[in-house]
Amino acid sequence: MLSQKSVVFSVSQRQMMPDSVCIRMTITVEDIRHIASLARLGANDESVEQYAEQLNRIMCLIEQMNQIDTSCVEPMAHPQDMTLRFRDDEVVESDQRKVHLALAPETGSGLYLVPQVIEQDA
Amino acid sequence: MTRWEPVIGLEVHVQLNSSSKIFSGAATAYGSEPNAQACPVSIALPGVLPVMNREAARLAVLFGLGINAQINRRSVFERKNYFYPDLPKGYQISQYEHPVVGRGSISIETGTGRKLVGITRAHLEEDAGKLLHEHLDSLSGVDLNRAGIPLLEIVSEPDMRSAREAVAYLKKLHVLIRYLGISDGNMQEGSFRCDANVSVRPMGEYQLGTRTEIKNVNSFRFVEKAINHEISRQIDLIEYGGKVVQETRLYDSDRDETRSMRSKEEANDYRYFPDPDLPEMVLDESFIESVRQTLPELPDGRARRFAREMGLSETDAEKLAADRDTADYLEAVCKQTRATAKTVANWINGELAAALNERNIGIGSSPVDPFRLAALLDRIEDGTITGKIAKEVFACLLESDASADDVIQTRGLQQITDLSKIEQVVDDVLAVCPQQIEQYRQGNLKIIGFLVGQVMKQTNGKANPRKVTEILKNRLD
Amino acid sequence: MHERSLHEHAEALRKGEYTCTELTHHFLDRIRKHSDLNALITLTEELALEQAIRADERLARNEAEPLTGIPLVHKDLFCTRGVLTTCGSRILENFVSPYDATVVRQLNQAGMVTLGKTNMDEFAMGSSNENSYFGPVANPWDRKRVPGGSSGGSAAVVAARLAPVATGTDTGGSIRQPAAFCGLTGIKPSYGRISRFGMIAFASSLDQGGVLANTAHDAAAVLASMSGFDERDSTSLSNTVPDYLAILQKPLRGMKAGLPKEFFSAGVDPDIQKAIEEAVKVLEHLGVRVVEINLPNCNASIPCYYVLAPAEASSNLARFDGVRYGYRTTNYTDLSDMYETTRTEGFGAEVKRRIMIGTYVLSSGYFDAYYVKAQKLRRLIAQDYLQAFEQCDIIVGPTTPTTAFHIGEKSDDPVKMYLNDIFTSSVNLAGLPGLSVPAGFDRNGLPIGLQIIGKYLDESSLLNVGHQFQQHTDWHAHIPRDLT
Repeated sequence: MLSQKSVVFSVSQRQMMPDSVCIRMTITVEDIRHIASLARLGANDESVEQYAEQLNRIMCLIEQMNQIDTSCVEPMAHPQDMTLRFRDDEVVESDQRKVHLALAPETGSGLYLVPQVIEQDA
Repeated sequence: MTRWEPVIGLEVHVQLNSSSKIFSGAATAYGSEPNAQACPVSIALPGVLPVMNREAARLAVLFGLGINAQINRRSVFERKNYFYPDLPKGYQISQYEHPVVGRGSISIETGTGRKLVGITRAHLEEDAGKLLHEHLDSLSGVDLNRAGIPLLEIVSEPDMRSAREAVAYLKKLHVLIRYLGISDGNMQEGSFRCDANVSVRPMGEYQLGTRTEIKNVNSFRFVEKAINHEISRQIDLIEYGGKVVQETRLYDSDRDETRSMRSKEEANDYRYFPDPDLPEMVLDESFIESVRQTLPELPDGRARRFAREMGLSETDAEKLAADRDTADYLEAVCKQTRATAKTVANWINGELAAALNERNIGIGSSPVDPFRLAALLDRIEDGTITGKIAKEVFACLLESDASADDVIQTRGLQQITDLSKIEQVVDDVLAVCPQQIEQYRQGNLKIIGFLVGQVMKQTNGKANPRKVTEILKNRLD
Repeated sequence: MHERSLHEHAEALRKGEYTCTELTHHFLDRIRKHSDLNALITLTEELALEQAIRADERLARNEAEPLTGIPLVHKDLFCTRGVLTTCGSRILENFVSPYDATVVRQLNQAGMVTLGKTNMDEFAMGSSNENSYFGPVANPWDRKRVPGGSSGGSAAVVAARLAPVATGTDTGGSIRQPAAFCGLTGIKPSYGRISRFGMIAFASSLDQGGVLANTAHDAAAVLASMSGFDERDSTSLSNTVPDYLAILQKPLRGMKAGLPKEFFSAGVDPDIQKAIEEAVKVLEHLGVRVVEINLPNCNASIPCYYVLAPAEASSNLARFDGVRYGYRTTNYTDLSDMYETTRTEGFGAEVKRRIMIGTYVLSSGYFDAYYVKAQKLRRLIAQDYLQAFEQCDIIVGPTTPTTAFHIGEKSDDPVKMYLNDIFTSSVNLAGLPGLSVPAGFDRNGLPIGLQIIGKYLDESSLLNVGHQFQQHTDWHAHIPRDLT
């Protein structure tokens, strides 16, 4: 699990400037390993340290969101409040597997091939 | 000794029978060449986008109306993020916080009466592809034909208290989805898949025990066995001082046991968030109303009507109403014939069912349509033929397109209506059966059955057995 | 020949002054001659000459549309059938798209000629074009400086007159900022105006295609052909596209321009501040009334943007797993290792950083604090604009806080780099159209951009103001010294 320690940031006059004093120890090396594994990115010891340093700086910038009260605001998922449009239930795609399989690094018997999957829950 | 109460909830994935996939125009047919139905959206080429299939939404709403559930006017597609080779985008599009179908219920028959099982929700999502391991040395193969087929995931409340109840619920759900025509429900082909959440608690305890999830048990029989096995495993575990661990387990039908898969709760964090490629799904009243118009009469109501209007027994009514084609057939025959519904039901469950079974076809493609069967039953009713002859005629109907009347005419199967003809045969029979006459007169009245049989044999079944008995009695008494 | 505008080329082609094939050869030669800019990833010479022949045939038959025979380049995240489409990434270094993006198809149908695919920040993540697997792009005005990003290659091509026009995409400023850095006119239309089908996604709720050109007039012509409804994009709008060219000539008298106090803060380079003030005077001279407005929550647009964009990106980029297309590492032991090594080797540092941030802000326990919070802020920012537009028709201000910086100057400091988007990203969050037009040069002779923001779907006013401004200024007509 990720840990959240003290989050302290100061409000500087220029809100957006990166120089604002920001003392926070939010993201630990263990957190980085966890995130990297969720994102399927490799992280050796050196890169873990580097990620931690950079992400903490970026999160400092992001924490500035907290200066604005949003308690009565609806979240906005799309830039304009659109609604879903439907498609008719028609088959319009033809068999293109030759073209598609040709793009893949490894194929056989019409299948995309990957290192053996040990059956486990996804 | 503690008595334990099992608590079971089921999650059922139903493949909706649309022609094209939920977010693309690729075909959904089962059994085509690997990846032949894997369009650019199915293989998640860079740059492609999902566009929602109206039919998938319609079928989900139809299900919701069928279980009297709340239909949510606004629902949201989200992304469930995880990596797996059968999941081409690295996320599954599914509904999470705002499903299209809200609370509803299904009534089931238990050993001790009716019971309502709550439906928590039903939501739309896309199916994943398939992994193949056979004949591939140290490799797995990915077939994405199934990726993107629309699924309705139906989640029940933990309302079931035994494996039998769970199966009763599943069967009821299976009947319902086929009735509604939202899926073919083919379990072998994976159109109807079930995960079971099982826990146990001391009888009388309110608090739920720790549950395990049994994945992908794909026949009614195995569901029952898997759940029963899991219940006893959990009870044994607790009674010997152990603790049930929340995990996913796989049922092995060969060994009749469940075994642990990787414990997933720690490792996975699906990071759901609204899919920015798909705006909110808003269903207006007119859409929902138009779906409601197509809602057929459902099995429970239909069975009640059969019992009430047709005088069928509850068992017969339920059995016949459970399959939409059978119920339609029954009603069509009854409309055409003067025979009672009970007679029609007996024919459907007897001769017709046997014939269909032998040919391995459904009643929808029966070689004898309701009109021809009705005409046949009318001939029994008006005394033209006997029940026994009717079976012979029916066999002819199965083999040709002729009408019952044609068969009766050309084969000369009408009952003998001329009484003197029957009397002649009776006399002939009595002449050669002095022993039986003697027995009858000594009080063995049952022997008359043998004599009737002899007369029927001589007339090739065309005499009315009641008349024959009458004449025999007259002669003997 | 290359100094002519798109319109002059169209005119010349119709009159038969030169053929499209000749024009195409001319630009192909120029691209080869100035390959040191590193503005293109792929040169599509064969395709271009084929399209040129067809364009010449159409011209000969008098069946030409306004854009027939005009050469252009596409940002390398638009899928082009049979042509390498890399997104500036190693993970797609070998990806030949089997289909055309809707935008590409539309412009092909209009008869335009594709010269090549332009260099860009990997997956459009960046403001300097230094994040490309194929190396940085030089700014034609000063080759030691960046052209801006992420559509940096497109900007360099048009600024160096290697093509009259280029497509680009803008998620937080990726058209307008490079347009400003390279002295160009760049427009990002309203979200939903241009189909995103076949445009490789960075942040789906913010991405929008657009144009980089030398003038508002040229941009209007190409934008018209790119816009419109596409049934393959669920966020595409069915609203009719107005005749942008017809509106250009409309007088500006009576129009009201809002100046957001927040865009004229102490962080802006004084030369830019001065140039924008001068530009506003030009607008006033043209009859535009200027009012001061407030966009109080736009201060939070950078943190808000750097939650939402990486969150969406972390999910959008999950499909790059070495299974169905693109790069797969040769060095792995099992499936999990194949995924990790492929992605670690296939993505550059900035892309990985954003995937990490995005994964973090969506992860269990942090979702509400970051992702939902940012979505709420997004609504406040959109509402700021709605309120502001009750008082004015357009909003004007600087496109960027600084002019083009040196290659390497900010590349070690992601946070500093992110602040480049300070005036542009709120426009994407609100889904509004934005335009950048040249408005002067700084003390080092580097171009300055004036940003004009419009109401939802009101691209017309932006192009109208841009064109009228360019009728009374000549900043857009300057060409980098050694490239004439």
